[in-house]
Amino acid sequence: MLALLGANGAGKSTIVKLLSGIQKADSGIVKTVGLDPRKHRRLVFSMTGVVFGHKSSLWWDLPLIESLRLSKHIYNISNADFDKRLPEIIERLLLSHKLNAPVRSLSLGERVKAELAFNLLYKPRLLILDEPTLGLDIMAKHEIRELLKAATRNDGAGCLITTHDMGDIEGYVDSVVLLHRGSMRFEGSLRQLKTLDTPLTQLTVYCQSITQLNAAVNHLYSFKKSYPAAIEYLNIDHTELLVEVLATEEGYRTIVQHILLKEYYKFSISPLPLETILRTKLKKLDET
Amino acid sequence: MILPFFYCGLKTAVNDRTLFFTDMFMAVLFPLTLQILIWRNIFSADGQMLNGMHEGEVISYYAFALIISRLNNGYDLIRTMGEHVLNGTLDTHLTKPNNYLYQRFQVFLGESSIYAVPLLLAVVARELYTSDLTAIKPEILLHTSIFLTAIVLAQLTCFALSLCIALLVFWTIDYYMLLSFDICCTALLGGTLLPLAFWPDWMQPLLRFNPYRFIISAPAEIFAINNIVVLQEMIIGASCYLALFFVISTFLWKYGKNRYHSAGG
Repeated sequence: MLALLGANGAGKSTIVKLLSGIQKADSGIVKTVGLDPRKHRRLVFSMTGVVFGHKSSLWWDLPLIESLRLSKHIYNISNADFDKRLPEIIERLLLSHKLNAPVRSLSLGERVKAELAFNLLYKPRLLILDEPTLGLDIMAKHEIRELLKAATRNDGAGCLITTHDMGDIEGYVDSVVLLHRGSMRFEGSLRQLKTLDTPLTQLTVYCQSITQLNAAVNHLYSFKKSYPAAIEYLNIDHTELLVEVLATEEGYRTIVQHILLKEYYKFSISPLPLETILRTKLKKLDET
Repeated sequence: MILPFFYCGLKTAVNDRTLFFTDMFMAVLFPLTLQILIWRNIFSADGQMLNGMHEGEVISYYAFALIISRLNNGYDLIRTMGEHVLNGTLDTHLTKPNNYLYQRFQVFLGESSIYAVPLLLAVVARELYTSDLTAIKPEILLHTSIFLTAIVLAQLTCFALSLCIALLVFWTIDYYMLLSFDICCTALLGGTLLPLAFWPDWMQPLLRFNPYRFIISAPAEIFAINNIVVLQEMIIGASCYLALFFVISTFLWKYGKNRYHSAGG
């Protein structure tokens, strides 16, 4: 599974449209499953499923089963295969009780799951997903991620996903491509992305009062003044009375030893979340 | 299933039968009653014939024109394609191995077919009223073939014309103007407001040879007064328009797709 990451307007959806043959490339060659998607549309899409998280091709006024049955005719699925695969997929996505409900009565999450089920029924070689978990609740997101994981492992389908949700990435994708303003800035594994720059650690300082918060902020600012390279990012949350610090390996040890333990602050240390890594990376790219 | 999208279109129309009955009442029975009242008054004041038509023929024409205007109606085709293009949901259809335009054709036929029932009933009623069914069997066969030819040609022309209008959505920012254009042309040029014979002479060529005539007014004239000349005109005219619309729609689809850009997240 490959993830395309990047800020809004980075070009993720454009890549999906180029690979789907919807948009024509200004230059270069586009190949999907080894074929030009604009020249061999029928062949490419008999092997490639495309799911757009915020767009649906299901029949709005008809029961869901009618839309799913259409896949049988569109992809020439035999009755036996269809009857075997439909219950498997539908049960995994917890949609069994919705099969006879009109699509318009389904929630957004159920519609995305149904769209995914439609595309998985014919066992595509490649599955392209454009922000499939956009606007979904945590349960729906989890079900979709697990189904994709199973589809890539059991059916051997390749999967390309564009997303802003780091939950879709961690533990699911094998490699990532980072896009910035239309060009590729990184390609490799998730581990490589995480260790690409100087590894940072997240420190969260929890305060009891606003006075303690101000004192902690003063300590940290004076430390940053003395060692500017040690602190990458500092965020003060006045509502929750906490300070978030992204510091280098050496920096966080010094802060813990000389400020936090000395002044009896409550704090936690955690590895940097992927979202924060990506945010700092994109911020740097914006500045360059 | 040979035509899966036809089935979906038909099932949608059947599921939405309230709309069908409302449509039949609001767009057929109500205007037909008004026309009957108006034309009864006109004929009682003016005599037996107006512009070569009897009272019964005029009323029969209106009945058929109104029913056919529901059957041959490109409104849904234009609206759906407009939504697909402007909302960006066309993406989901372009990434399937089937042909999108053929899919639309099947849906159009499926959704329209429910409106063939009242037309069929009207034709049967007319046959029962005008023909001696026990004696003139070849005539009934002839009428049936005329009916089928006219209705198939009118449906195809309606689809092809509506498709060309719908495809213009690639060059617009809103599809409502296309719908308004289609509704106006259907009423004025299609002859649902007034039969062709009642328009001024200088407008006759436009009304006689425009494509909307072959969609509504011509089949209505054929069914109402069994006019074989109109059928001949329709076969030639509709065939020419079909060829023309095929070329235009191919061109519009090819260039429209290149103009199509849907936004990402």
